[in-house]
Parts: sequence; C-alpha cells; structure tokens
Amino acid sequence: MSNTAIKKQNFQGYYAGIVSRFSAFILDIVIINIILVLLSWFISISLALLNYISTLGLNIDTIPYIQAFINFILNPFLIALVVIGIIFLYFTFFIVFSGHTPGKAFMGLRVVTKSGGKISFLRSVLRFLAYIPTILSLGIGFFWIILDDQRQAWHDTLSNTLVIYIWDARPDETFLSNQIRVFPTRTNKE
Amino acid sequence: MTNNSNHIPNLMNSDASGFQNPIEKKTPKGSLRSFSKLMIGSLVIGIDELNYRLKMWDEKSQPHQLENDLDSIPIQQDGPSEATTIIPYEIIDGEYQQNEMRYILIGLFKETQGRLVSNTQKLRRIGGSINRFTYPIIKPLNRNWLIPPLQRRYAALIERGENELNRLTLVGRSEYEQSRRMAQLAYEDSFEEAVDSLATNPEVQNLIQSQGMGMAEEIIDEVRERAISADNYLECIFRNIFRRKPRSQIPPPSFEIK
Repeated sequence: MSNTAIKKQNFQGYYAGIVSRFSAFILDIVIINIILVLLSWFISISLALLNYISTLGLNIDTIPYIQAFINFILNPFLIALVVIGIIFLYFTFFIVFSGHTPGKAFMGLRVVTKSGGKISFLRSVLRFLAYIPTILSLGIGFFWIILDDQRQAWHDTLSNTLVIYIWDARPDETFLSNQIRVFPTRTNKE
Repeated sequence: MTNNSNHIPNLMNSDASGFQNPIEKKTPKGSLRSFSKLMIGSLVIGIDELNYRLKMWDEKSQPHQLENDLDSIPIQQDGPSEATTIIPYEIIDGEYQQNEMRYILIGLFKETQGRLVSNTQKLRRIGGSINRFTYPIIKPLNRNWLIPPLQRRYAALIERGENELNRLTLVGRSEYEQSRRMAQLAYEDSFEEAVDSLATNPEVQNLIQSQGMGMAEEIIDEVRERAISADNYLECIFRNIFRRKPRSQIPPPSFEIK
C-alpha cells in the first residue's frame, strides 16, 4: 500500500485492524474490572453491616438461614460463576443490542455479520464462547487479525462475524509519517 | 442611626458617659456617603497592600542581591584600595553607556530624597535658633495690658480648633474602620457574586460544556486516528514479513458491510 493511499483513504466500513480492536478489548476488560470491584465492595459492605448489627446486640442468628445464606454468597464456585456471568452478559448484551461493547464504541468499531447485518443473540453467545480458544492460544487467535484478509480473529471466524470501523476513519498522517520515517524500507516495499 | 449599626454597633452607639458620637449629628444618608466610604476603604486597603508589597519586594530584592553582586566581583589583592570599589555588572560588561541615563536618574532621586530629609532637619534647627533669639524681644510684649485679652481670645480659638480637630479625629477613626469593613464586604460580596454568576450563567455553562465536549471528542478522534494508523502500519510490516498479499491488493468489504 502506498503512503499516499494510507493518508487519503477513508476507512469507514472497512475491517478493523488489530490495534483498534485490541485497544477496545483492553478498555472492555478495564470496565468489567471496575464493575466487579464495585460489586465486591457492595457485598463486603453488606456483610460488614450485618456484622455491625450483631455487635450492636441484634442477633442476626435469629434470622432464619442467615449463616447458610452467607456461606452461599462466599462460596468460591458461586463467585466464579457470577464473574463469568457478568463477563458473558457484558459481551453478549451490548453486542446484541447496539452492535458494540463500550470499548468498541469508544474506538468506533462495530460487530456485524458477513452480510453486514446485526448480530443475533445465539451468534453473540457463539462469539463469546469462541473467545475461549482465542485466549487459550496465547494470543495467536488475536494475532490472526493481521494475517487474515478480512482481519478476522479466531472467534470472528468461528462465529462468522466481522468487525468494522463505523466512524469517518482516517489515519493520523503525522503519526504515520513519523512511524514510516523509523522503518522506511519496509513500508516503501508495499 | 444608620442601618450599618447592625454590623458595627460599638462604633456607632454613644458610650456610657453620654458622649454622642459626632457622626450621628450630621449623617448624609444615601448612596453618596456609602460610595465615599467605599472609596476611602478601598484606598486604605490598597495603600496597606501596596505598602506591604513594597516592603516585601524591597526586602527581597536589595540585601541578598547586593551581596551576591559583591561576592561575584573579583578583588585585586595586590592592587590599590580602589580595586575593592563596588562595580556593577553593567560597567564590567561595558554596558555602562546604555544605562547611564537610568543610573543618573536613580542617583538623582536618591540624592534628592536624602537632601530633602537633611534640609528639613536643618530648617527645624534654624527655626529653633530663631525662636531662641527672638523670644527675649517678644517677651516684654506679653506683659503689656493689651495682650492678655488677645491671648485669651487666641487661647479660646486654639481650644475651639483643637476640639474641632478632636471631633474630626473621632469621625475619621470611626469612618476609617467602617470604610475598611465596607470595602472588604464589597470585595467579598462582589467576588462571590461574580463566581456565582459565572457558575449559574447558562451561557457560561454552555460554553464550558461545549468546550469540554469538544475536547473529549478531539481526544477520542486522536486516539482513533492513531489506532487506525498503527493498524495499517503494523499490518504493513507483518504482512511483508509473512509474505502475504498487501492490503491494497485485497478487495475492500462489500457494499452491504459498508
């Protein structure tokens, strides 16, 4: 690709590249972490309040099944299940209803089907499950975006989806020219 | 009694001995009096502030600076005593000609000030000497029978003048405090009002909001642009390494996707 072509071309509707997508993914991870931290705070404060009530002389043991309930809440299996459930809801809910997660929205990306349509719930579930081999492949599944002609990662290929730019996508010419100056031979080959 | 008595009762009320504050006698009500108070207060505060800052700047600038200047000048040990004379940097650097007029003016100002003070003291001494010499000549006149009535009149006049001065001093002292407080109140109120109006003014809020939104949009655009540049650049490199077809030779997405 020539430099001028990169500078002038508008990439709206084109397949999104690895940096944009990875940035969006990192943003999503950060948001999920914030949600989980807030939730854990809420649970900790609630349990602390229950303990505080018992120190005031109000015996919480009089409430039926309270200890069983607390043990149930603090069960590691349940916690893991809740965390996975939140992540699942985050990635499926947002993609089904708006076509992008908050991270993808920030980076101006949208997930579409091969025909450009909206993603159904089943397809979004499939896409979420397809993240598992992508992550287990130690990044090769994500790296595939660079080599694939349609910039599809493994989870995109498995769920038959695409990720495209939805904004008036134009590269930063100054940034690009600075990068090209660092590696002039490689970029000029194309 | 004015409405200000609520704020400063001690200054305005008459005291226990029945002394009536002279301000209460002829108080010109209305905005003119308040305005004049405000002016006086502002002047007082301004002069105080200016004095304080002048003193501070003077302390900051003079002694250490001069010491530094003196320390930095090399002193010839074996030369004549003139070698220890203070030489400003400008003279050493040969810039004396440019600043000559400035130094002359400053020197003149300093000399004039010093001479004025010394001359005033000299005048006072001369006045005292004249008084001492002329007192024996004037003394017989005081014993004349014509003089005591005049002296009494003169003493009464002086007493009246002193009373008037005392009254004016009381008025001034009272007004001074009031004016100062009023100026402070005016300053604080106007500052708070200005901040409030800025905070509540919808135009200002819209401006701040639009500026904030504009800045956020700019940041997002910048991040996206850099990301898309990095997308193309990285892909360019890696596709070259893995001997894949360049992106320019791959057909773009179909119309439905776009």
